[in-house]
Amino acid sequence: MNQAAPEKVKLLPDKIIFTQRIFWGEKGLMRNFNAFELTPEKRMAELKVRRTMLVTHQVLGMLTLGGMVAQGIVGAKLYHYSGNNYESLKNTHEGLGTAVAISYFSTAAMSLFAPPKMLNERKGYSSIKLHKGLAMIHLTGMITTLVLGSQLENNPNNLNLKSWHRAAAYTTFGAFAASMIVIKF
Amino acid sequence: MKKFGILVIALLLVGIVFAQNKVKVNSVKEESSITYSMKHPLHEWSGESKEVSSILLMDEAKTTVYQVAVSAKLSSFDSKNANRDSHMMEVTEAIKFPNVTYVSSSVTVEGSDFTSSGNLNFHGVIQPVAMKGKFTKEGTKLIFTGDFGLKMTQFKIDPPSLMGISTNDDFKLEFKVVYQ
Repeated sequence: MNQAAPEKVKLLPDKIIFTQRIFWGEKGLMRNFNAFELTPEKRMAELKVRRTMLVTHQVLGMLTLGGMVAQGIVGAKLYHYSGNNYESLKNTHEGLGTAVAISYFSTAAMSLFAPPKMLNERKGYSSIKLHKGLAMIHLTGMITTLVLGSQLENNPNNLNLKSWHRAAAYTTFGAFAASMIVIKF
Repeated sequence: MKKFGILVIALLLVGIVFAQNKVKVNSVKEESSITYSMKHPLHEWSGESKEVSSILLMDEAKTTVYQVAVSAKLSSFDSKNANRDSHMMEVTEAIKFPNVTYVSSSVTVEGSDFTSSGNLNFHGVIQPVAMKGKFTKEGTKLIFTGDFGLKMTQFKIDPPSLMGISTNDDFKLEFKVVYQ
């Protein structure tokens, strides 16, 4: 019996998130470069770029989580310090905060700007949909934490502001950790 | 006597030709499926394809199966997670090798059991496989079900990884193909 000739596979999904579409859509910016022309061979190479970016996303995500844990410990200690010790620890907290922010947004960028996957979203629940849903929560929480943190610069004794900053930080950490745990399922 | 002998031989030859008449029986796509199952230290999952195309080559009486060919598109395997399915398409280079196909070299049906051996073409690598399964008849429908185990590395596929940990090399293929 003869086997039928291989069929062509669709190179891009029908729906692509706008951050990926800008660069990797059929008329995306990257399509202007020879290396990223939309051909089967070049799409295969592009998928390797996607894989590298997503692995980097995972590594940076874990680093960010570690940074958040450290920030939580340092931030909690600030409540019990005063004078020069407080100032020194506050500088550490701010420095760590900058590092975690850079790590966090780099993690996000690796996913948001990666070449798109091959297929359309499947119907129904999946762990990856929950992972993306939780990202909405921890992104909002991260921005809120940073904004409140910068407001504390001008209002260092505002206890209300400190409480909200801490609450936003803990919510961010909780959603972020949950988003990593759900991948397991 | 000589004329009678020639007639007998001629009739026998005609009989043999008619006995070789084969019919193609197509699978019922809506009722057929192939499912793969894999394991990763963090979880187990399976992906089902409902886009299975198959042809049986049988005798006219549909009592003997001479050959079977089965084909499924790799993009049709759905594990309910598009990212994971896309990852599987990457590691199996589905753009270059869009289908997984099986062509038998032998098929034997005995009662409610069947055995088959043949070649499985996956990721551009052809490997001999042997399988056993169940055969049932429901009205005019012929139903073949079964499963067999394979290894990804058998087909020169690097098992995918998640969180830096690779999936197991072994995976299982289960099938239910309905013909009418």
